[in-house]
Amino acid sequence: MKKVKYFTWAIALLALISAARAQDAPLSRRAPGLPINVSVFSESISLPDFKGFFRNPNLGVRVGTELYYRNRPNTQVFQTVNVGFYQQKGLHNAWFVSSELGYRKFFGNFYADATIGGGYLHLRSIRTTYEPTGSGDYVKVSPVRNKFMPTLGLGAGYRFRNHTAIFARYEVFGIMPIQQDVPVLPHKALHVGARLNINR
Amino acid sequence: MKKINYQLVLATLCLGLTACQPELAVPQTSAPAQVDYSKHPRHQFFQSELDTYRKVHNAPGALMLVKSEANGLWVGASGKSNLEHGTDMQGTERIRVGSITKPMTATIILKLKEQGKLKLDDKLGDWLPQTQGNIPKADQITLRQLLSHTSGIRNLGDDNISFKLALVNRPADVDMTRPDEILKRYVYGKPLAYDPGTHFLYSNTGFMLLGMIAEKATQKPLKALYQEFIFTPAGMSDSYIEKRDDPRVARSYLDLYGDGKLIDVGDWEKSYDDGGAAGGVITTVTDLLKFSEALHGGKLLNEQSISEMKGSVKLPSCPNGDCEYGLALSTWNLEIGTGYGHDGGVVGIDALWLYFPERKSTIILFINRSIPTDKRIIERVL
Repeated sequence: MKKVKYFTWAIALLALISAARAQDAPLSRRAPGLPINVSVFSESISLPDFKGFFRNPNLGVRVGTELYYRNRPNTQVFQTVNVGFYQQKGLHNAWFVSSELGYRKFFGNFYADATIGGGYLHLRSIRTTYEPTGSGDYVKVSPVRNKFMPTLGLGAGYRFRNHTAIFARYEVFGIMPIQQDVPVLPHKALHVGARLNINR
Repeated sequence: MKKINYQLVLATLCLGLTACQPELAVPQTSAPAQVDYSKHPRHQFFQSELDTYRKVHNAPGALMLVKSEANGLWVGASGKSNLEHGTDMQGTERIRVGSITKPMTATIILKLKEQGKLKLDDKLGDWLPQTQGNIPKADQITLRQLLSHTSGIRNLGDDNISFKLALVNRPADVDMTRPDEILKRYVYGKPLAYDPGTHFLYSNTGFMLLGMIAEKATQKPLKALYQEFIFTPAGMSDSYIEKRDDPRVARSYLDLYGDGKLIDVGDWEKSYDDGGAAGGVITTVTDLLKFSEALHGGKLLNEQSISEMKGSVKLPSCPNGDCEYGLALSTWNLEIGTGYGHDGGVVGIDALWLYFPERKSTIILFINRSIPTDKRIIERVL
């Protein structure tokens, strides 16, 4: 657990240093390089609300890039591709690969965006998993499960002169299928992160 | 800048690779050896029925107690109490019984009524002023309505999605032994499901409130009231209502992901349910029999109180009193006769206790998996 906290703080610190340095950089006339989004997030199994993100949080990290269908000074239509990891304490470790379609609107250096997408979720239960053999006995089986992960996100950020940005993002995502009478197990996540540009 | 980018990506990858939580350890379950019931005249039949009952429901383990006037007591076990350690069910394990706790909490309330410390027509808002303005019509809801699930106060359970998700997210957040917190978070400010006394809606919330009222009326904690009014007079020496690290408790299992595979959720049940007035009793099947015999034998309550527990609530939908639920006692009208008792379920168990006064027979069923069960076994074994 301590390890998670140290890495989380390290990533947050690096992101902030990157953003601060970017603030001093001259405005580039070249097209931005490959954007890399890095965020740490606090996650809960919950209906969408804003409660409990900072109390004994379940932490995760996400790294991704984005490709632009439209890239104008005031608006962007983009596609993200992400990989990430989070741990749901006492339940499972989760790795994911996801992609989202997004729209971003700039107001000066500030921006707001919205995304919708989905992905593959690789869950590894930390609870031993047992499967019936059919004769009334149970055997231990792989604790891994593969699930679909629908996502919706709303974000806001600040873009520095060299297209580096810092942002916060509220996300709801699901695990599905889950139970016959429960189509999706809803989650909420609050991200803070930075967008950096490689090859600048 | 590029260096920092690489550091970021590297740190992120390291996090993913190293931050995994390790697999949870499950302690061994240990229980004393069971009395040998193999000489019971119906031993083979009962054992076969119990084995089938367990297998049909894909449960790791099952227990059954049958006591009849003709054949006496039989206790049997099937399967495993602990899959991690491959521990056989003995029949002497302590088990969570979920809502079978409710008739015990009701017994305490009725005992306090007999002692003149409260009345069943007292109002919720008078006993718990903090509910005034937070629970609609708290000044009209009676203790009788809380006992009979007719108060209209919404359930903390199946029909409260936020509560269910919180239970999966972090079971300690929905600890039923901290009712004030639970009420503030999930009950206060919510509308009633209907006007008090007009419909039946099963409500764990009502029994949590009754536990608070019993504590207030006596200035004693719930576990002391259980000891005084239930466990000691009934001779239940293997029972308690509190959170304990108790290796004698059978493990509980849940198919969380809906794929037929089970995970151990004993620690969830402990965090969430143990110690609560709605479902927190831990006991054994033989201790539960002692409760049944003490209650129906008049050791715990007087005849009038028992009669009130058994008598069906009267609602517009069942004006003649055939709603099959009294004051925390269910009525089961079967071909073999009428039985009184209660069922119970938590996250990873399913239990049932019924007493048939005409036959002087008792049955207790338990499996350590949460799944709806087929109760036709009752008519076959009684």
